[in-house]
Amino acid sequence: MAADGSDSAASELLALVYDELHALARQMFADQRPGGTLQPTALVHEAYLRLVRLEVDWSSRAQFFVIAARAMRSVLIDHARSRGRNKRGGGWQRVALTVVEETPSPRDEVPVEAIDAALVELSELDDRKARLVELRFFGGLSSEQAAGILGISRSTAAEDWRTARAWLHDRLGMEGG
Amino acid sequence: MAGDQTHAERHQRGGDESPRQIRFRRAESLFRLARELDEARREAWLLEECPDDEPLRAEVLAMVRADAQKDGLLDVPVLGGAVELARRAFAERSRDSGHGRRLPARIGRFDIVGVIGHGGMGVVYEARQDEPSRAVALKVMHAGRATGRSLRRFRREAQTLGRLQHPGIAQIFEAGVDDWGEGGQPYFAMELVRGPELLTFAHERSLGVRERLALLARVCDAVHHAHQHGVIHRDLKPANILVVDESSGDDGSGTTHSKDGIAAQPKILDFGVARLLDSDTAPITVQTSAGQILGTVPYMSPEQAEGDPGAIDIRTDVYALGVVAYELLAGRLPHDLKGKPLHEALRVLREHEPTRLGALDRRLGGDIETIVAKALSKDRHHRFASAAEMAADFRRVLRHEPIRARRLGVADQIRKFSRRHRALVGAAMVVAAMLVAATAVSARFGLLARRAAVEQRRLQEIATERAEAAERSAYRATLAAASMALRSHDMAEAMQRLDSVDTAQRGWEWAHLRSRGDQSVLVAPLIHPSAAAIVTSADGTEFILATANGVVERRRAADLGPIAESLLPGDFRARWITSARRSATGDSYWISTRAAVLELDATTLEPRFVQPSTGPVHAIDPRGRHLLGLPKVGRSWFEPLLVRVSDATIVARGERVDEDGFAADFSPEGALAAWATHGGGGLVVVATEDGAILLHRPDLHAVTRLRISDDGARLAAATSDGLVHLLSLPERGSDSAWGWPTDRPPSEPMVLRGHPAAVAVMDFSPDGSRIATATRDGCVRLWRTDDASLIGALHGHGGRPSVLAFTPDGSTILTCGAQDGSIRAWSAIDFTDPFLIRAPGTVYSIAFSPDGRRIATASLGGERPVRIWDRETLLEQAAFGAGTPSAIAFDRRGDRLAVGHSHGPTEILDAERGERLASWPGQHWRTDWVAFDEEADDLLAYGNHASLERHTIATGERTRRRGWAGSEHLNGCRAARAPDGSILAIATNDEIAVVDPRTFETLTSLHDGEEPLRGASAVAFSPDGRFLVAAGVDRRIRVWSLPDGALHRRLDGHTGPIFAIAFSPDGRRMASGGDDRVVRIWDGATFEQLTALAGHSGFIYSLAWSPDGTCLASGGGDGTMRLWDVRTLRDVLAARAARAARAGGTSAQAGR
Repeated sequence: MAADGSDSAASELLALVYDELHALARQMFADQRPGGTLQPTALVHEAYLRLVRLEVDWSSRAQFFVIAARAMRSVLIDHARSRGRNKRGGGWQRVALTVVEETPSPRDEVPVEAIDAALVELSELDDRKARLVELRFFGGLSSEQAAGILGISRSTAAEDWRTARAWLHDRLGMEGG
Repeated sequence: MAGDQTHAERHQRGGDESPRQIRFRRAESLFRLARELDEARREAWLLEECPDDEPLRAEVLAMVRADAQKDGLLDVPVLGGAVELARRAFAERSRDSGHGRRLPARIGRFDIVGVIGHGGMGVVYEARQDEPSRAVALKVMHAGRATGRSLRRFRREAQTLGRLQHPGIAQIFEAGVDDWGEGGQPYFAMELVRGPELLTFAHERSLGVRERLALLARVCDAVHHAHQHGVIHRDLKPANILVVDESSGDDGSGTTHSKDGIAAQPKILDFGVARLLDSDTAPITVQTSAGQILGTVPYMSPEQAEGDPGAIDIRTDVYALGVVAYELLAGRLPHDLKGKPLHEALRVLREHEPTRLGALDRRLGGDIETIVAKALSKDRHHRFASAAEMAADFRRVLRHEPIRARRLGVADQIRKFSRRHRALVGAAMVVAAMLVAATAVSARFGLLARRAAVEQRRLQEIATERAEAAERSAYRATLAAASMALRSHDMAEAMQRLDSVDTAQRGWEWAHLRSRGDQSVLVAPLIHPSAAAIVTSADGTEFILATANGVVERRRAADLGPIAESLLPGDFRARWITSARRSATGDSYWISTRAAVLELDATTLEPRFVQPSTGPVHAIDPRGRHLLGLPKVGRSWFEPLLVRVSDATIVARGERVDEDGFAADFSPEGALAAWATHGGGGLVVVATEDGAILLHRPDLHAVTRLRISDDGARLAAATSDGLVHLLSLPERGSDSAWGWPTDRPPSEPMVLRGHPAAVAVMDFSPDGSRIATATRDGCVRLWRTDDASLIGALHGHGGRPSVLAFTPDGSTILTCGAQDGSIRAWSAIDFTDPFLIRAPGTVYSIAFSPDGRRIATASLGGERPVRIWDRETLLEQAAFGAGTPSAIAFDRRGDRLAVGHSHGPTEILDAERGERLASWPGQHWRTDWVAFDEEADDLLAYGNHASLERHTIATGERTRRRGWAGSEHLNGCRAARAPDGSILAIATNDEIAVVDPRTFETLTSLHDGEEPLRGASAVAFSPDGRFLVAAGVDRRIRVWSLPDGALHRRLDGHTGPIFAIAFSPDGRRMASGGDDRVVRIWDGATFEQLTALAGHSGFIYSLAWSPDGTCLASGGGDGTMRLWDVRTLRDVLAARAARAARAGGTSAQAGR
């Protein structure tokens, strides 16, 4: 059992992450309002519920980030799929996402489903690299943070990232820009 | 973490790597080296390294190219560092947590007096307002990002909340955004309530049960008030309910005890705040602490626990009211969530039933328990439809009147049963697996190999058997749930359940229920999807279907078939049809699109008139004079406009809103225009002549559809909460003044209740007396407009209809299914069920002709009591006979009928014309069974005096044997002939006798152990001759196996004496019926009851299956025969139409 202190710290953290996810998701979908896409509120509720349903010992802060990144990934995938189903033919659907930087700026459409599929394939070949990508791409962690969480050195993380990135970009047909 | 370890181990072991992993690792190492080489040498080097693997070389090269590319897809995290932001926020909050907060002197127009509390969402201050002078509670939210657009929405929402004025709701006076240093700070000023929390109040005053109930009723009243204004609380809990003791004279009004017997006024805090802050464009980040979420969990409804925001409606609040009631009455929460992790707590909320209140405190049993349990139903459809209903029931308890809430509904029970059985199937599979495993183990541990094999086989059989039994019981549960759903008109649910049944499991009853799901009279496929409007022609013989893609189709009303179609001119906006209606002259249609209005010739569908518009048009009046639209003005505003088409003059304009979304309609003469914007502003009705506002209902929110009746007297407004408000429209007086002031409606609207979701489409009948509505359950509901009562609910659509219209004669409703791609016609007047056939009296015997095309019924009395019905059309073919026929049978060719009477003759009639071919004099008893003995050309008869007779047709001779124990009082004393004709079984008062049909000698008699078999009246052989079944007054069906006559099964289920049993021709089903008015269907092999068919209002005396086994006929004391068929209503109507056409042809031939 986790001590009371770390337990409450973890739940605080969870709440904060939840709020931030909420705010970000709201902006993320701000441009898609008409047409009944997944509402940000729903998105985050969903992500949050997924987090709390997992039977995880929250005393591990690192583990939390892993889970948070995974939760966001699965929410985005589900969202992309549900949109895909609604459109004729399904298949890969590009979901327009807005990247939140200092000022929100539009970003190219991200083929979340394709990335997910490629990540699944990568995890079968090299699970650590797939998790690294998940933490960085879906969880938004820096290379150093991800290295800390995965328990690998910074240089290993950097090498892993470079390989994974090249392999995934090749898979996704992105090398042409 | 466990995952990390296994991962690391796998890496170290290496040997476990799959060939793909090894290949990937090789690609990785090649990539690392190759990228360091310059391009010229790279390919050569790779060729050297792996000369035989061209694909690998290509992959590595591609990776190197991808590596060199900057700004790749993965380089920017998809959510821009959500977790990092969270980390930073966490750090900042730790830094300035505690006491460092400045106390502002003033926020907005309010002087800060002190801090009342800190909450997850912000700080609550006590503050003073100068004008009007009052103390307020000021809630200031943590700063967050806010845009102009979302702040406007925030203010508008706050205005809505401001309209909630009820003594039970802490009123919101004002909302605003104040900037005091850190960006926009949204705040609310609300009524400052001084009083203890609900539970504290009840505890301190030691309130009794009645006083607590009265308090709860008042809480419900307040919640209902908010619901009527379209506001859902979503976070109701005792901590949000304070109680003001009005008897202490706080308000100076000197309130005495009210009719409830208490002077305490509960006040609900934070109404609508959840919505305000949670709406997707809310301007602020809600800083909800995990602790606060946990504090709310016990009051969360199962749909909230599912995390399904779309499922949240007023019944979510009703659930929370149930929890509050439970806690206030019992002193504990319905679910013990203490110490449970959140995911577990949510599971408990979704799955567990709370302890009954009566079990905690006997005073809380009975009605109180029923009310609270209803509010706490897991399925929101089973809760009170409104908080007002709940309040009313609490008050009925206080007045000692019977309550309206029912104990757990049957449907609810069945759903639970179904859930349990699904689990059972799973469990049985596990048992099966375990048994197999167990024998495998026993085999390994030295049992003799053969013994082990035998044992294993036996266990496998048991396991399979159990799994099959569980599957069958799941099937039965599904059937029960489906028929329950059908009865409550939840077509989507019923069909979903039926479709979930495995094909192999589907039996006759499945097909029967499936056929019951379609009550449309005509169906045709849609050619073009996205129907936007349907309009009938003036004479009703045809209609047009207009789509959002600009296609207009003409179709015949008679068979819904297409006649012609055309495509509107212009670009996609000009073709994007938004509405259509028949012109006042009837020879054209007016169409509005997002960029034009058009008049189409009703025959050629060619445009007669086209007027482009600069903005989207949502409706046009039938004379084409005015249009309604919601054009965009400026960057983000929309303005409702009423425009005269001839000179583009704006006749009236509505309140600007910042949201697209518009409901609009014109009255048939075009004198009235009605609109409502989704963005607020309520419902407006204006005169098109001068733009005068005739009616303004700002309180009608979220109107999704509007419809004015053809007589212009009524307006229907559908709101997003599933209600339809019926309003009377004013008539203009002779002096051209409108009858009543615009700010006060003449009467409260009548409300159509019971839709599971917002009404998608609706139409008034042409005479205005009825209105048809449809929503996502696919059910077309028909209502009376004078008292808002439901006339009928028609199902058949597999999803939400997208358009709906009455035909001009009001007889038919036309709809198109948005999801199932069908167009359907429904009878709006004829609700008669063709499968329900009225006979002249108690239907005591039924027989199908051997070819299955006719059904003969014998009624005990009435005009011409023998009737012949056509199996296809279900219409009467012939009526003849006299007296009180009680038994009827066809001969092998279907030419003759044997008819036995009660206290009358036994006769042979011509099956077509009813002429008497032979007759034997009357008896002093009732003949309950007749049959032709074709071999001997004899007639067999048996009756309630236990007299078995053989009538020789050629000679008129009669052989009779009596001597069994008979009784005058028995209802039905039937006999049955074995399929091969070799034996007869007769039901007597104390045994089932098996008799030789020639000699009438008793071969054996069947018993149930030592018990004498009393009062058997129904008897049947299974078609394969393996079973003989009998039943009677003791409500039990007994199955004997043949030829040994051993008792095989006892079947319980009927709650009254059983009078009829019949096997389906293939032997797979057995039907039984009797005193309890329910036809029960049993599996003919396992003898498990599969389903029960309810409908008869009198005893069931007769049952017969059609020879093809698709139709079961039951006859009863209610004077009806019911046909439980697998055909749909439409099949029967089609058969009637075909028959009528043939009859026309035949008479024409005859005339030639």
